[in-house]
Amino acid sequence: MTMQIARTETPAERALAEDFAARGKALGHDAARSALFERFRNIGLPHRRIEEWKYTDLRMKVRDIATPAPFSVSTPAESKGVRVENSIDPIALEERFTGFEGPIVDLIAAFADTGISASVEAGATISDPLRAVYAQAQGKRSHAASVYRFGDRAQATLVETVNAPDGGGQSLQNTHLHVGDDTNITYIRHIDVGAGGTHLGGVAVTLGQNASFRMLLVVSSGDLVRTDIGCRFLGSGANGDLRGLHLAGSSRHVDTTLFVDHAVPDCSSRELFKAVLDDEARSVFQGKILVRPDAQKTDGKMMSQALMLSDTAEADSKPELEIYADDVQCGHGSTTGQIDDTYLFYLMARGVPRREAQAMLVSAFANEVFDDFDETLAAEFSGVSEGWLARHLG
Amino acid sequence: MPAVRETVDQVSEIDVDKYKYGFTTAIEVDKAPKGLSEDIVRFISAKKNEPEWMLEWRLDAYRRWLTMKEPEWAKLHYPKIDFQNLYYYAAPKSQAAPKSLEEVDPELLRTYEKLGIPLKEQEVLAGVEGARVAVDAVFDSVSVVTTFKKELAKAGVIFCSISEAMREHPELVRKYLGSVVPPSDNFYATLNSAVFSDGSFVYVPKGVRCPMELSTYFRINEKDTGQFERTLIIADEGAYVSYLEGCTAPMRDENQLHAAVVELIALDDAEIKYSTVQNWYPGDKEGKGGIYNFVTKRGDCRGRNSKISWTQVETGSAITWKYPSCILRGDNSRGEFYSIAISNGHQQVDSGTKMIHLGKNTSSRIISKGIAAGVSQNTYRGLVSAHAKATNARNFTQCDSLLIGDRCGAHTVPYIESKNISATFEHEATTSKISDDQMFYCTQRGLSEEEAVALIVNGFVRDVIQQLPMEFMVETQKLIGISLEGSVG
Repeated sequence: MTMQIARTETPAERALAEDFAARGKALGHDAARSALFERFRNIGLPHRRIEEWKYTDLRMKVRDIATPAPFSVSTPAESKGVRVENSIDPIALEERFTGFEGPIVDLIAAFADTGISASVEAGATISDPLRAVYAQAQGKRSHAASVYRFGDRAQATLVETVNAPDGGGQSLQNTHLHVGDDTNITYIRHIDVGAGGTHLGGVAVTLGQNASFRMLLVVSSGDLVRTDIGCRFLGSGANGDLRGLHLAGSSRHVDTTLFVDHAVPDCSSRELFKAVLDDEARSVFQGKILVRPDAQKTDGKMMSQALMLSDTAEADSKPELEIYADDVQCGHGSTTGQIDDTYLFYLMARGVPRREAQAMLVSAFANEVFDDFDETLAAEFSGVSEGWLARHLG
Repeated sequence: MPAVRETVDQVSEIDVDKYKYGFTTAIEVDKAPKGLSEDIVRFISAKKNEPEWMLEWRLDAYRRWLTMKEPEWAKLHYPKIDFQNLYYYAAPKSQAAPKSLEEVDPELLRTYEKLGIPLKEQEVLAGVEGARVAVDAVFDSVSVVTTFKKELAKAGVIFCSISEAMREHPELVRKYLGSVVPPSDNFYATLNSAVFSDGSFVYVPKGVRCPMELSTYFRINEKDTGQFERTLIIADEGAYVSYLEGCTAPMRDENQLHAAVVELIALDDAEIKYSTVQNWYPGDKEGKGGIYNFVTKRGDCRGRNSKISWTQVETGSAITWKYPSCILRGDNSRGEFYSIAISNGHQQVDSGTKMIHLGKNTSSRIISKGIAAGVSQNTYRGLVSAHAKATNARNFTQCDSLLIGDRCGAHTVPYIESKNISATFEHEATTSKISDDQMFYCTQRGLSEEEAVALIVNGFVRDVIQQLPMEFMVETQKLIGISLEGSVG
């Protein structure tokens, strides 16, 4: 990230500094926290001149800072093979790597007063999904940082929801996932922070050898939502399947920035990120696949697609490849457009009314991200997307 | 899949240590003092006998440049350029506006002969009927000679050096210069606006199809000299012109700077084809020397149904920073960008295009092929954007990259921005997606997918390549013949 020229502190930045100074002691903040905040303060709220934030200028967008109040956290239930603590693991504050770093990661960690530390034992197969909910009170600002460790050969599903009632507020939450060797892990993240809500969050994923990891991000509400996902392949033979769905209407701004780091050979990754945009909504997808010099035989494919329902929506996409190994297969694709008239014609010619035909096509577009998912989970989240579509196309 | 043997051999044949054009011409030169200041800007302007408004234009740009910072966003690493350690003007001494070829220094003529550039009108590409090319030869800071001027004038086409155009056609220069790339555009364009010394000027009047290919051949010869040329091409309503550009430089241990600006303007129903074979000295095996090539090229499809197409074959330069762009302002206008960028040794390429859709029913196509070998870095960086009023904008982009060896890098950085519901943008980075029906047609007739892709990519660029002077053509064909096998996104 490029360091910046001289800048003046914005009122929001000043408010954060004052809050940190005032509450630091009460929160038990030590030298490490101060160092985190100092790092944030050196850069401040990222703005469009920082490449990773080109489309989401927080300096402009975040004008006020809400009064702090901790998240009300509902932790996953403990069971055989699953240990859960309502506490902040030091890793949640310290872990940084390319794709998971920068002022917002530091800001979230500096203030984090809640968090979940959970681990799934090696070899454990957890059949019921582990569920965590971070509920932010209306109009408040909350920070949390969580760590989940999945032991070797573990099989589990984790569903995290960050929610807030309509009416604003700021939720800031980071999740670290340490996925061991030969595991089979599914992670679903649902951001539903209501009208007027702001969410800034990050997901740091490290994958062990032969790990099979699947992730789905669903953003169904929130005025300003930015998610940074960093996925690092540490052991060969691993496979990452990362998907996302932005559903945005009115003047919402949803940004997902993804960094996939193929650091070792023989791994494969698939990325599929979709956006359905109505009114004046804006969707941003920035994805980058890095294939390091030793990561031969990497197989990476990234796809981003935006479907526009209104002529005032905006879709920005930046799918990047950075490749340093010669024996790899990497590709990306990106499409932006509206509902295909020929499909619409096909359905209408068969007697389906226009609105229904449109709804059918949009839901077919959006629901692709749930393909091959566990049926109950797919039904649960396609329900979220169907509900949104019904409100916008009904 | 790794690169096939044939490809490796072909790329190594054009490796940096095989640079053919690295000789120097011993010739007396007239130089401005080293460094850059207002006095140097005045010196250049005076040398060119420029009108007062032009000097003011330059000084404005220079003052603005002083406040600007070098762009650092590109994936390029090089030591800081000392802008005070360069000569901003160098011209062959004997060159006092020669009226004909006989008056040109024979040493210069020999140089162009060695480079294979035809300066004698009657001898143009002997044996190739009808393939005549008019050449503007730019040596360091000045245009040495422009061929076929009389014949072009018969058709009403103006083809001359930009300094001459400023004297002979001030109204055209004043109207169009800086209208596509304003003096404040970017660090290097602003520097160019202050110190540009020569370049080509083309005006094709209404309804005229330019009777021959136009071309400019740029040669940097002097040590420690920067070359700052400026090209301005205007195709008036219904006009057509095809323009070629070639460049070479001697082998030197020091890096040399080349910062050009090219502006194209296509009015209603006009078409401009602009082709570049860029073969500046790339530096040696250890990465010593070579040209720093910072170029701003932009075409403005100002009129309805206008078309601008950029074709580039990039093999030279230590550093390439270049994004030939199209502003699709007129309704139904079309922009195209075909590029082959091959980097070897320690070369670094950061190149691509911008397609800015502003008008209705505009379309653009981007085909880019990057091949990296040695320890080079090859980046495609492109922007496709649709303005809110760009109804029915269409874009198709395809970028292929190929790595030869495991010490080089190939990168793709596309920006896709759509503010219009009816805009359809497709970006593909796989070889199988050129156009399914074309592929089907070829494969169905027994061609392998490889051959079919090569054939189609060739087809896109062939009509331009065939018009290139023989010397370019052979080289370019060789580059394009490189197999696509082992392509990555």
